[in-house]
Amino acid sequence: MIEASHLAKRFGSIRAVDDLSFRIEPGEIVGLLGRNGAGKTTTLHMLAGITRPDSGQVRVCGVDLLEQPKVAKACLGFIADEPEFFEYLTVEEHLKFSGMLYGIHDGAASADSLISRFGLEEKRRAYPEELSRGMRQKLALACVLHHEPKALLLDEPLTGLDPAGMRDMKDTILARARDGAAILLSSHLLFLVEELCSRLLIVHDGRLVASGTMQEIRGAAGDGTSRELEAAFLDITSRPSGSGA
Amino acid sequence: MIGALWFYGLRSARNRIVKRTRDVRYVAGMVLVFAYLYFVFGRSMGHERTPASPGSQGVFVLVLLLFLVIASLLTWWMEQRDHPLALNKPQAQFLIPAPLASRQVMLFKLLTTLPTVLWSALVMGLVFRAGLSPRPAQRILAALIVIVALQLQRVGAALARTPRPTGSGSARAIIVGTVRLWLVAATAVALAQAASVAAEHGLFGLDKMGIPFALSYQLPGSLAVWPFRALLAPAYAQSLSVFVSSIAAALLIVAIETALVFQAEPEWGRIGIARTREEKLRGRRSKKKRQPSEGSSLWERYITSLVKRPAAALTWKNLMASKRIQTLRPAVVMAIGVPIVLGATLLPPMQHLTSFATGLAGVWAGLLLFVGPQFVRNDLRMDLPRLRLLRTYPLTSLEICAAEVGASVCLLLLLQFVMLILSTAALIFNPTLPLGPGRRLAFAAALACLLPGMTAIGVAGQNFFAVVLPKWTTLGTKMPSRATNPGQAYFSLLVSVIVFVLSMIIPTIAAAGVAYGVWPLGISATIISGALVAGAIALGEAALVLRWMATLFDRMDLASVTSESNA
Repeated sequence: MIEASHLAKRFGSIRAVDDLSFRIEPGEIVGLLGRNGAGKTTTLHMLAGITRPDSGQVRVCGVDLLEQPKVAKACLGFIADEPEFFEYLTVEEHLKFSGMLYGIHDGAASADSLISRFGLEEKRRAYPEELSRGMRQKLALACVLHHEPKALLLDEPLTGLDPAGMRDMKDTILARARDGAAILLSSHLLFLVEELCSRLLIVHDGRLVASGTMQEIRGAAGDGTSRELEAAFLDITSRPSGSGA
Repeated sequence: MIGALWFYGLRSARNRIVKRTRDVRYVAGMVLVFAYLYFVFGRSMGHERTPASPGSQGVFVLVLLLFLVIASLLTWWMEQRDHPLALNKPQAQFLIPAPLASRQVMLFKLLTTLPTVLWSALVMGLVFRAGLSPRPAQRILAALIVIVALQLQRVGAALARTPRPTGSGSARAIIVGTVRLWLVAATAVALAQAASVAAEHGLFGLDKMGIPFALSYQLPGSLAVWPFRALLAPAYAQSLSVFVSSIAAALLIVAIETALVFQAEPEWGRIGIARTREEKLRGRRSKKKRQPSEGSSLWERYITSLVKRPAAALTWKNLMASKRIQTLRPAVVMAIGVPIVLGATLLPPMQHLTSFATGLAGVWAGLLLFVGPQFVRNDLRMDLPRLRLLRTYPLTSLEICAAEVGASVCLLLLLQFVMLILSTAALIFNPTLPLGPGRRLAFAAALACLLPGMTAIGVAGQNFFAVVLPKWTTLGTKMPSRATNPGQAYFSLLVSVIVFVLSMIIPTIAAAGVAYGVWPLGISATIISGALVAGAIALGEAALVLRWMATLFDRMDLASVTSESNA
């Protein structure tokens, strides 16, 4: 479960996130949408414990992230838009490392199974710089899934992937949700959001301007074909912030 | 196009200064640096010093010449971890696809280092005075020439090493061209020298030993070191007229090096950020023929088995990284080689070298202690660019800082203890040294007690500096260039020494107190107990620094470490 209440963050005079509240239940995949600079990444950073909010509260798996960061982070997984790796660790060592970090009992064996599950056998001893974009995404996902997080935060997880990579990634996300993880996914790819998410959060100028199921969001702008999500999104995010659905 | 490059360079420099002046930490740092330069060196700038005596000048020139020759040889001999022309990500993104000649990009890249070079020349010109030109402006100009020449050599050496798809013609051209011009210029000077000797002593002038000049050691010596002497000449010119006449030759050398470097057509795809390292890593791995995980090395398995606590995973990761970074090899060679030299002095024909060898060991041990934390940097300094990732780990800030700092401390302690144990074994029965074996053992034990605390303080101090002023620290796996950026190196060393001295005040006082009480038990007991107390207090201080660092680490802004233009 992921819960944010009254989150706020300013960078100097810029209000990046303002009074943002939502809750994601176990097994639910929620899409976080917004135009560039709307505050999506800052929100994800606050939920992942990367950036400290100026005010508000984040609870992950029922634990307050600010008060008990270690416990909260132990059940959290985060994949950034540009995954970062350690240049002197191989693929296999990255997985070993993540296993050690999260105290996984049989780290080496689970690293092996993740390597075969994500098709990284041939790149087992490759360094991150030798990996393609898709392989890097796979490695990031493998590292994050190593400890089977109950809450997953994904920032643009499908950007730059080929169709096969996209399919694999989507299957993995859906499988994780079936296993009971609460997933928050930020993306500009509306077709992906439609396919994966059961609920949407739309932020604009740092504020939550719309939230609800796909049908509710479509209804906020008009009728409900798949094309209309784009229209609804553009309509909602073109209104002045504060007048949301 | 060139206008765009100038715009980018100048605007970036201006914006960087403006941005830094908005941050109170950097303003305070700048005030301190300039105050130091003014009060220590600047006040005497207006007064012209009396020229140096020929004796002291001779020694100083010799030291400088030696430094320059060694720095120059190392530049060509040792492979650099990062290409000096490597573009950062935004530069690569904008400049490589742009309709620019590769030499224009190279010129731009070299010019972007100019502020650093100017700063270093200013610091060097002010700091080093003894035996050098009496006027500060002359010294600064002379330092500028020397640093630029070293910088060009570094670029030339890196270009010569960059693999080329179409033969190795242009890469070799740099080396062959350098050697050829070097020889031509040196021969010309040697001939001029021979002519002057001939004029003085006859056509085949003899030296003091009665050997013809052309066969004596002077000719090969002159050939080898002439360019270095010419480069250094403006630095120690004692009068304005000598300075003006010597600067022409120095500038000629810089011009030759520039021409040679620009002879190369750099291929940016191979120089740019990712691919060079990829090639380097591939090359390194193919040399090592790494074994699969089940057959991994003993120490690797041993350390892995030790890692049960999540925080230790970070230390493990950093130790793995250090194993793959080749710059540690000289330190390992020295840690083992110096005791071997010490051991060799046990042999009767070598015994007269004992004091020299112990002096060498002392200097190296001191370097390992004071300068080691600057070079062994597999800690937060390496990982801060991944601050976002570090913060997602289920660890407290204190655990992250301690684990990161712990890796460098472990590595330095390993080197120090290998050297200490081997040196003690080599020296314990040496009859030419004062003190008996028992006392020598006591001193070694005292050092063993002191080293962990002192090393922890040194590394923690360096990491603390990186957390407080990340923009003034070289972050990531890139090593700060000492030879071509001596200004920064000077201040880094100065800050390290000041922090070190301040942090050792309390341990020293406490150790003195304990030693006073234990004195009746004998010298050995006094030394060991004093060192034990000082070492324990130093460890406590390092722990305090870590706590403070962890608080600041929590407050660090992501943007301060993810920028491409640190240092």
